[in-house]
Amino acid sequence: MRERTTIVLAMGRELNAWKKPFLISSAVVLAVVAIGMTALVLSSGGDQTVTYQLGLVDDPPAAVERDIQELLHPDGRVMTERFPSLTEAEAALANREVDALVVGDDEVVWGPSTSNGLANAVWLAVSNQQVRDTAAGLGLTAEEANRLIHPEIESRAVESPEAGSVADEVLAAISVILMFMAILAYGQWIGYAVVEEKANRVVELLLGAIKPHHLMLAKVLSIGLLGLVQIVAIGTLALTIGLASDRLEIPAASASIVVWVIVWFLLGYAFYGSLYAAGGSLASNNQEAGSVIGPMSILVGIGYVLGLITISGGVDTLLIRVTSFIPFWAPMLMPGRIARGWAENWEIAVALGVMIVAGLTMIRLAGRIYVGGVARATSKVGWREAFRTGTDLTE
Amino acid sequence: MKNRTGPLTLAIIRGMCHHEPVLRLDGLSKRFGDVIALADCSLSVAPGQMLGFLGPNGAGKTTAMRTIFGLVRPDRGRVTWEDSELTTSVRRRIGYMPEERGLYPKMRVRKQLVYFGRLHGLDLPSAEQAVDRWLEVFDLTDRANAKVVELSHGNQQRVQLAASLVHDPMLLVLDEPFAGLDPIAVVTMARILREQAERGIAVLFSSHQLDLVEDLCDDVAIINAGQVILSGRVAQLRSASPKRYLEIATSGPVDPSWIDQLPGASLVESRDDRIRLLVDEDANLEMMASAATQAGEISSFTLEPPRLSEVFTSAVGR
Repeated sequence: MRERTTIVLAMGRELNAWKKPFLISSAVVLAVVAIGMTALVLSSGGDQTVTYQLGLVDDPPAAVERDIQELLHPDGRVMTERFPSLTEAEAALANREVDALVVGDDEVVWGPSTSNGLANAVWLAVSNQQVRDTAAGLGLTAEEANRLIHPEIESRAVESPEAGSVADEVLAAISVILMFMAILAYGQWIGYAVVEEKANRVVELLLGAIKPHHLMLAKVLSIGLLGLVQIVAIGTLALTIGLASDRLEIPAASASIVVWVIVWFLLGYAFYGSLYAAGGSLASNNQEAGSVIGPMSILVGIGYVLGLITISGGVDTLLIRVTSFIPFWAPMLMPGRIARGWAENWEIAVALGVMIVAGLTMIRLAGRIYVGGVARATSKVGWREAFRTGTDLTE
Repeated sequence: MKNRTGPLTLAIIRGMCHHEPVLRLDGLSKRFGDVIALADCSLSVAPGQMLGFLGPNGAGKTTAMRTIFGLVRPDRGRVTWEDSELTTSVRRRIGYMPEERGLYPKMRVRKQLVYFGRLHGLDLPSAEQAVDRWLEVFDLTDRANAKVVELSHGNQQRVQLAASLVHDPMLLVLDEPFAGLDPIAVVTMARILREQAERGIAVLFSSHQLDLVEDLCDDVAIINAGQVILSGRVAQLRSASPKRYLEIATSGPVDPSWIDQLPGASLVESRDDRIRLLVDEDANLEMMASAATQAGEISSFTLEPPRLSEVFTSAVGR
């Protein structure tokens, strides 16, 4: 109970210490995401709906107007205007005030501004009405009439296996970038938080009251919590903007991709966060920290580059498939592969299993190294020496 | 957590003073590569005892103190509290002031002290109450909301000591607590340490200011090359030395050249109105007094055992 209290206290201090950088970085990242998503929405071809003016004379049946709306959707829609006489309607058509006319239930009039799309929709809608009327005259039911209009034809399309939708690609790219930024940023925060306490020698005071493993755990948990909050906020914002706009076609799988990104962030963060904590414990000041933390950041960077190559290349190569199982890079590669629909279920399951085992092993190894390194204040400690002098989490 | 050391407990502790050591460093050895930091180092501290831990630079004082907090794992030997292994829960009842001061520079003074109090087991109201009390004692109340980095060196030192005291510890381990303090702060710090010892708190502190240690401590342990080579009551250590010193104070400046003719005496120190001589065991004191009288008007003539600093120098062979 007492141990839990000290961990919570240490977490509270850590959260407080990182509050300002977290708020600033969150504001910047969220602003970038908002701007990026808005630009994406505006540049996407989705909401280029054309509005047509349709003139109605002699009360055409309501079904005609409804059919025209359905046939034009989602690229166009019609606004209707009723005219008391055909003469007036044709004058408006000639002046481009309306784009086409429907007269009664059996006549259509085209004008100078009639587009092919509108003409096809109007022609088909009036034809459908004719079919309905004829069918009714023959004693057919409305359902039978509809079957005449909409015969059951099975249609499907064959796509190239390498080609995904633009939205899939965007999601995959976002997941790779997000994962890289989050693991790099929050991992480094942990590293520097450990170095700071060591350089200030405040860690010597702390270790009299809290076990070193618990101190490391408090850091990893609290900074990870900030990372999680930021990722969820980014995901929520991106999805909200996407869903709020009817221009961008958000794939149904988007929500599940966001969940996968969170899952892989947690796993990747546990792995790298522990590694960064161990690395930070070896340095005695910020200058030394760079030489220890730098190589780890390069590891994360390799995953990022591989991830971007994957996404932009559009091909699930053997190299990418294999490296997406390696714990150092799986967090950056797997969410992208999942987003592109390339990862088989068994691959996801195996990669998850490997990552969980690797994460637990890393926490244990890093814990031992942290204990061996954090109390050695005088000079930089080697990995091997810290491991040798450290103690296991269970001790 | 409030009143963990009540009046009855204190009375018992006072009764125990200097009898049963609570903290023991027993046969500690530690090597860092080729450097032997500790070599069979042993010492103990009892409740109410103020133990000065002395030694030249690099003798192993800091390493020995760090073993108490698990910051150094000895290769051999053990550190015990009441004959049991030191656990984290016991360590939480110890106040520590590391040699290189350790505080969060950007954290505010009061907030930081409350945090340390809570980490060491106090609940929030008790921690706040204790912090406010210590801030007042150290005359830091008006700097309570300042960041540590904004304080002067002396005030940072006070905050550091407050951090070691805030949780009402059973033992204080202070590594060079007087280093860098101005004379007024030294007096304040010494008073506080004495008060703590009088309350029954065991105090272990290292210092190079030997005169101050002599004034403050009843007991000392002298460490050299990783080993405690001398320990005990200051008075006993001084009187156990075969050396004797003659301190002659005069009412005016005295030329010390007359000492050259004195058999069995050698000049140790000479100031305007004070001469200190190292005298042989069989030296003729009457003759010396007579010679001194001829040299000038004597205001005091004292034969005394070596000072602590002389015991120390002799022990470490420097």
